[in-house]
Amino acid sequence: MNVNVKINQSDSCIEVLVSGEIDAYTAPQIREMVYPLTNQEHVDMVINLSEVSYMDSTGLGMFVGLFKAVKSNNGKFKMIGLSRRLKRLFDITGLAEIIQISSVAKDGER
Amino acid sequence: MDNKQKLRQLYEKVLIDYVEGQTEQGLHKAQLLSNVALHKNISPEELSIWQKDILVELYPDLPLEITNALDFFVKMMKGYEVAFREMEKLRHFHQELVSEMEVAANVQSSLLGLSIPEVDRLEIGAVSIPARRVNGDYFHFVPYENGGLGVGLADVMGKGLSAALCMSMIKYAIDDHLAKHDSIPSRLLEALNATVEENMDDSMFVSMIYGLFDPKSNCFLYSSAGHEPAIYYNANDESFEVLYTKGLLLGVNEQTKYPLYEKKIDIGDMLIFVSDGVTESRIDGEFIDKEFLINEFRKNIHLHPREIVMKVYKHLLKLQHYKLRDDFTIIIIKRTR
Repeated sequence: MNVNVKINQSDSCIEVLVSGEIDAYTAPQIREMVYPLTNQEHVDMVINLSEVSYMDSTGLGMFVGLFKAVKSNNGKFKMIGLSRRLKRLFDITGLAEIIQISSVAKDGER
Repeated sequence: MDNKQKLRQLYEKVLIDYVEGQTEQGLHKAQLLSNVALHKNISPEELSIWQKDILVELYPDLPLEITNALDFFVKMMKGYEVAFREMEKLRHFHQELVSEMEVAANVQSSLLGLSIPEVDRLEIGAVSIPARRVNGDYFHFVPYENGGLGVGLADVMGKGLSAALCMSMIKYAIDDHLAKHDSIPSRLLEALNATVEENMDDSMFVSMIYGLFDPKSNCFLYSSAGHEPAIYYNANDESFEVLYTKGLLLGVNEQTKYPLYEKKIDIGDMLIFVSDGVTESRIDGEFIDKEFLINEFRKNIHLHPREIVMKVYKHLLKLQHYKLRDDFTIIIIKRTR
C-alpha cells in the first residue's frame, strides 16, 4: 500500500516515475499529483512503471483517465517499463491498442 | 447573577485555593469544574479569558511577558475551538457515510438479486464475494423460454459506493437493451459502452463479458469488453482452453466495436468465467498463473458446478489467508444433455 511518485519536467516532456504498488488506496494519490499537469495543451507525458510491483484495475482506470485528459488537450501519452504482468493487463483490456505502451524502460533495461 | 458568572466565580475560588496550597484535591476540583464547564457550553476560549482576567486582577505586578503569553493562549484556544468543531463535523460525516454504505450494500443485494436460474440441459454454479462491503463485480443471468441462457459478468474498475452504483446502472441498461433489442452480445456491449461513456466519470470503466447459449445450435456466442478471458473445458479430451478475445473496456471510447465469437458446447463441456479478483490471487506474495487456476478447476471437475465454484473459492481464499484483495467471482455453466 505504499507508493512514491517522482515528476521530472524537462522542456516540454513530463516524466512521471511511479514506484511501489498502485491500488485503490494509492491510485488517488497519484491522480492528485498528476492530473493537474494534464490541463495544459500539447503535453508530452511519459509514465514510467518500471518500479511498480503491482497495479490493479483501479490503477488502470486512473491511468486511462489521465490518458483521456492528455489526449483531449492534444498531447502525447506513453507508458514505459511495463512488467509482463502489466502488459498482459493492458492487452486483455484492449488498452494496448489505444495507449502507447512499452516494456522497455528509458535506459533500455527490463 | 447568571449561571456563567456563578461558574466563573467558582473557577476563581478554586484557582486561588490551588495557587495558595497545591493539593491533590485542588487539582481534582479542576477536573470536576471542566466537566461542568463543558455541559454549560463554556468554550475553551472563554475559559482562557477567565484565566487571564483573574490572574491580571490578582497579581497587578504580573510581568508583561506573562500577560502577553496569556493573550497568545487565548488566541490559540479560539483557533482550537474552530478546529475541534470541524473534527466533530467530519466524524459525524464519516459515520453517515458508513451507514450509507450499509444501506447501499443491502439495496444492492436486493436489487441485483443473486439468483441462479434453472435451465434445462445446463448446470450452473456461481459465487461472488465482495472484498469489502459493496461488491464491484456483477453477474447477470437471462434465461429464455426456449432453453437459451444469457450470461454476463462485469467488473467495475474502482471500488466502493460509486462502483456499486455503476453496477446498478449497468443492470438496468442491460435489461432495457434486451427488452428493446436483440440479444446479440456484441451489440449489447456496444450499447452499454455508450451508456458507460456518457454517464460515468473519466476514471471509471467497466470490463464485461457477455454470452448467449443457443440451445438449437448448442453454440455459445460471446463478446468481451476487456474482461478476463473465459476458460472452456472440453469434456471429450479433458482439456482446458483459454478463450482469448479482443474488445476494449466499456467507457473508454464511444465508437468501439466488439467482435463476436462463437464456441460449440458439447455434452459435458463447461464454460468458466472469472473476475480479476480470482486471477490476481496471490500466494505468499506471488501471483497465481493460468495453469494454477486451471488446475484448481481440474481437481474438482467431476463435481456439480455449484460445488466446483465453492471449492475453488474456499481453497483460494484459504491460500490468501482469508483476505480478499478484490471482489471475487466465478461462474460455471455446464452442458449436461
